[in-house]
Order: sequence, then C-alpha cells, then structure tokens
Amino acid sequence: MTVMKNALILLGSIAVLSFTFSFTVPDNRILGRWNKIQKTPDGPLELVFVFRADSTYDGIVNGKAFINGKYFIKNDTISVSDNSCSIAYYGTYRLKYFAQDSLSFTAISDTCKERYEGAHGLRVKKMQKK
Amino acid sequence: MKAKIFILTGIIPLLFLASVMHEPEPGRSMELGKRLFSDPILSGNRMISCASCHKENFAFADTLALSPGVDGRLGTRNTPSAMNMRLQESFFWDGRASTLEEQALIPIENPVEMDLPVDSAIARLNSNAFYRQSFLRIFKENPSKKTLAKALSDFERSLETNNSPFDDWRVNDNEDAVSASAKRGFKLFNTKAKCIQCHFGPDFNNVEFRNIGLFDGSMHVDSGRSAITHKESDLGKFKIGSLRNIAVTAPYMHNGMFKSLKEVIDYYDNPDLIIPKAINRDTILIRPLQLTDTEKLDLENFLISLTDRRFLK
Repeated sequence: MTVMKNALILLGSIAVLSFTFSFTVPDNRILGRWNKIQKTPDGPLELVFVFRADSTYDGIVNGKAFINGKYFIKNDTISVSDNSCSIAYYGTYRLKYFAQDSLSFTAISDTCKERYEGAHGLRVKKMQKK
Repeated sequence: MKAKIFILTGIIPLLFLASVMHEPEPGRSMELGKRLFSDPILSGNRMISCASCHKENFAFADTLALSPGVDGRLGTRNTPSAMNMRLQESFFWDGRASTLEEQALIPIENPVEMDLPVDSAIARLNSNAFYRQSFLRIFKENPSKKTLAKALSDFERSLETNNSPFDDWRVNDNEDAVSASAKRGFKLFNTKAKCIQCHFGPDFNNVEFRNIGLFDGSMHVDSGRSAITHKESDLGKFKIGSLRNIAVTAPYMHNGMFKSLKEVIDYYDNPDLIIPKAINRDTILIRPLQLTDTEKLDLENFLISLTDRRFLK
C-alpha cells in the first residue's frame, strides 16, 4: 500500500513538473532557417526566414536580406516587429507546426499592410542544416 | 627554316586573335540579350549600345551625370543601374514602363539615346546572318519586337546581385562582414535618418514615387512622374531608386546632381540648404534630420556595405 502511495506521489510530482516545465521552458521550435520556394514566370523566388535565439529575425529573398526585426513567442502566438513598418509596432500571428518541419502563420492582428500581405497564410519548411 | 619561323610567328598572333575574338553562339535568350546589349547595331549611327551608358564596372550605371547618346546628344536624366531589375514593378525614373520588355525597347527609339526606330532595328537584325540564326535557334522565329525585347529583358533579369557585405552579415550571420560603423548606420537608416520609409525590401527601394524636393519650377524643372500621369500631386516625384551597389553608381538622383554619397546624405539632412524653394516636397523631409558628422559617416558606411563584393575593391 505504501509502495502504491509513493508511486502515485511520484507520478503526481512528475505530472506537476511536466505541466510547469511546459510553461517555463521557451518554445525553441522556431529557431533556425525556414524557406519557401515560389514559382514565378521569371523563375523561382526563394524566401528564407532566419529566427535566432536572441529574438531577432531576418527575411531573405533570393539571397538578398530584406527584412530585419524582433520577435517573441507566447504559446502559439508570435509577435513580430520589423523594418517593413514601424519598429515600435508588433503584429501578431498564430503559429501552427506540422510534423515539426513545416510551419504556417495566420494573422491575428497586423496593421502593417506589407507584412500582412507577405506573412498571412505563409507556409514555410524547415531547412536542413548544412 | 627561316621561312617556317616567319610563318609560325605570323600564325600564332592570328590564332590568338581568332581565339579572343571568337565568342560562343548564344544558346539562350539571356545570352543573346547580353550580346545585343553591347552591340551598337541597335543605334542609329551604329556607335552607341546599351552598354555605352550602362557600364558593367559601375553596376551597369554611368559615372556621368548625363550620358551622351547618338552624336553626343544629352538627355536630362542620370543613367540608372540596369542591375537588380527582376523584382521591380516600374522602370525609368518616371515609371513610364511597367515591364522590362517594354522598357528594353524605349532607349533604342529615344532620339537622345540610340535614335533608331525599333522597326529599323528589327530590319537590321533580320539582315544580319548571325542574329537571324541566333533568333531562329532560340525563339524559333526571326527577330521581332517581341523577341528583341525578350532577349534584352532576360539579360537584364540575370543581373541580380546578392553578395554584398550587408547580405553576408544578415544572411550568413557573419558579424565581421560589416564594420561597427556600418551597423550603427543600419540602425540610423531604420530610425533617425528615416531612409527606411522609402528604401526597403530586397533592393532597398519600393514601388512608389516620391518627391524628395528636387523640383522648384525654376532652377530644377524636371516634373518627373506628373509628365506621365498628368496629376498635379505627382509633380516632382520620381521612382525610388535601389540602393544596391550604390558605392559605384555615382552621381546620384534623377539628374545626377550629387557627386558623392556624402553630398546625398548632407542633402537629406537638410534639403533647404540645397534647394530652399522646393515644390511639393515629401512631408518625411519637412524637418532637418540633425545628423551628427559621425552619424553621417555611419550611414555612408552602411550604404557602401550594400554594394556587391564584385564591385568593392
């Protein structure tokens, strides 16, 4: 009976710890490089997004850096601020991961037209490390 | 023996010359466009080519404020770089062309540039065996307006650059690619100096036309975009130029009035000091930026970092 009681306490502790852990450890899944290749009449366009551990990110198109900004994530929501609009303003998007190597962005709120047009509905794939 | 040596010494230079002069036949539209771009066959007096003004060593721009066309005729606007055209939505300083194909033919006909009616250019290409065969091989048809525009625009589309120190810094996370001054300049570019409000995206421009205050109706009379749209609100507006390769594309602005990046930055810092009675100047430039000398230098270093390594010595 005591063994059973101890086992239950242990399992309960693990469950509590796991629950707490899930809220305190940052979600690092976004870190790294993600890309999308778009076909156009003039040839392919490769979009790459780099999300870094220091909360900065860059957007790159065909090897040309074109967006530079900051982000933070809470649960499944990412807030982004970059030089395509006011740096002080953050737009928010819902993140959805598919099988860990694919990610989509759905706008929650973003008045930055340029960013909204590029990011809402965007699906990117995780790039393999070289 | 002596005769053999003479023959050999004569043949060797000839063989060398032949090997240097021999160029492979173009197999793709872009390669044909490259050849046409440098061929004066497309100008009225057969002396001027696209490359006469769009010089490769200067990012396909010119070092002169105004480039001389046929018979030394001068236009009124500075030759823009022909590089990084692929993502553009309008062409020429006043945006009169909306596709590269449309753009490619206009300088051929312009009397102060190449001064040759496009129909005459097509006739010349059709009577030239090399070009007739090349067009047939690539497009399966004789030279025409459409295929000439296609070849020239495909060549221009190939002139993309993405190997600047700035790209290396942002794309490859190479912190040593740019100086601390250039990094400070990038921050200024995005904030106090307000450059980002017009120059953004992969080529540091955008699709809009803006009046930066270079029209005053007396000394500076190029009305820019309004000559195309006939809208008063477009008076003095010009296409926002790309900043890529800017270190080698001086002089600057639609009229080439600034000889250096320093002059450009000084102008933006306080436009009234240069053109005090500008008409319709953009509200972004309504007040002086009040940049310090160090900040101006930082901005300049950042701008230089946007230049592809192939042009940076």
